Amino acid sequence: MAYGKHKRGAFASPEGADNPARVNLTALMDILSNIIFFLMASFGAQTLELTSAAKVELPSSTSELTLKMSVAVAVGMEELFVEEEPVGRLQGGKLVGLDAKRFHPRLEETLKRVRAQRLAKNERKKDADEVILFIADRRLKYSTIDRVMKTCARAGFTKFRFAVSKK
Amino acid sequence: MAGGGGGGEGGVEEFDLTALMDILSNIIFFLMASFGAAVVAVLPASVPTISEAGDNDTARDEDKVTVNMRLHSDGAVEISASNNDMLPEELAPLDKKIAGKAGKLDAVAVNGHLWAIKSKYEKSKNVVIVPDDEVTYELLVEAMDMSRERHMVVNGKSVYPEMFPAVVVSSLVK
Repeated sequence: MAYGKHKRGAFASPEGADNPARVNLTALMDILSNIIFFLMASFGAQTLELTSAAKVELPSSTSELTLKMSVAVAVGMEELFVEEEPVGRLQGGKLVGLDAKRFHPRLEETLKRVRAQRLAKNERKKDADEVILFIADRRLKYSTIDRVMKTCARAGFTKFRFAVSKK
Repeated sequence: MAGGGGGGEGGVEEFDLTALMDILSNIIFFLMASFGAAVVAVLPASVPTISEAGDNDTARDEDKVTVNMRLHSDGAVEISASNNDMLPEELAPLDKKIAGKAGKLDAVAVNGHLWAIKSKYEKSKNVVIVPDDEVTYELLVEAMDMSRERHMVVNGKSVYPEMFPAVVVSSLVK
């Protein structure tokens, strides 16, 4: 037999010749499938967590495109986040702390830092490092959205994926 | 005994719950994952950038146009088309103003007019949406939905042919 019926090889049973050892992969497969599902769940949960942290009510859409990893910017009615870090405040749905050119300096600085960190970590540029996952409240006015998007573009992020809830 | 071995002869049977636990834990994680995926989707968009070659997003080939949508806060939409190699008179028939319906887009009229443009210039893919400052994010997403695909029913089945999936969100220069 392949695993040494008469020899004491690496896979031979210690008791002797009549009990050939078997490699049981069931437990390994169980663990791997659990890990895969856990990673999927934690990514979905991360977005939802960020949505609730910024108290965002997402707009609904007929889009079927699924979420992909990217830099998350969340704009609620009161607070602005990059990933999970609060970087600015809003009053009455309008951004506070814009500079003379109507950009948001702290948002730009944070995004540049995140971008540099991601690029330093990866050998090659990835799509996820170039795109913003844009999580914004459906009630926000375009004047606010525009300021956030333009600041993102100034920090090097010109592509966006708008997070929406499915209809 | 209820759980006793059928074979008798002193053999003690044990319930092996490992496989059951494995299946249950997999199902839990799967449900968690599918819940997250079911709730949130994404819409791709971009903002205008300065091109080093002095080029722009406007179509050049005569078999395609770039659609421009001016979006007002009351749901009214002004649609026009542009192409750097075509005369404005050729594109003028594509211009249309569509009034809003109770603060929302007239979805049927907007989607229908965009489909007419797409049918005439089949290779077109780009739409530039220019919302007013007071337009809500929800209305912007609705406009993106209306321009992305045609909503139609063929032989009793819903089909969604692609129209203008490449969206650029822009604003007027002040």
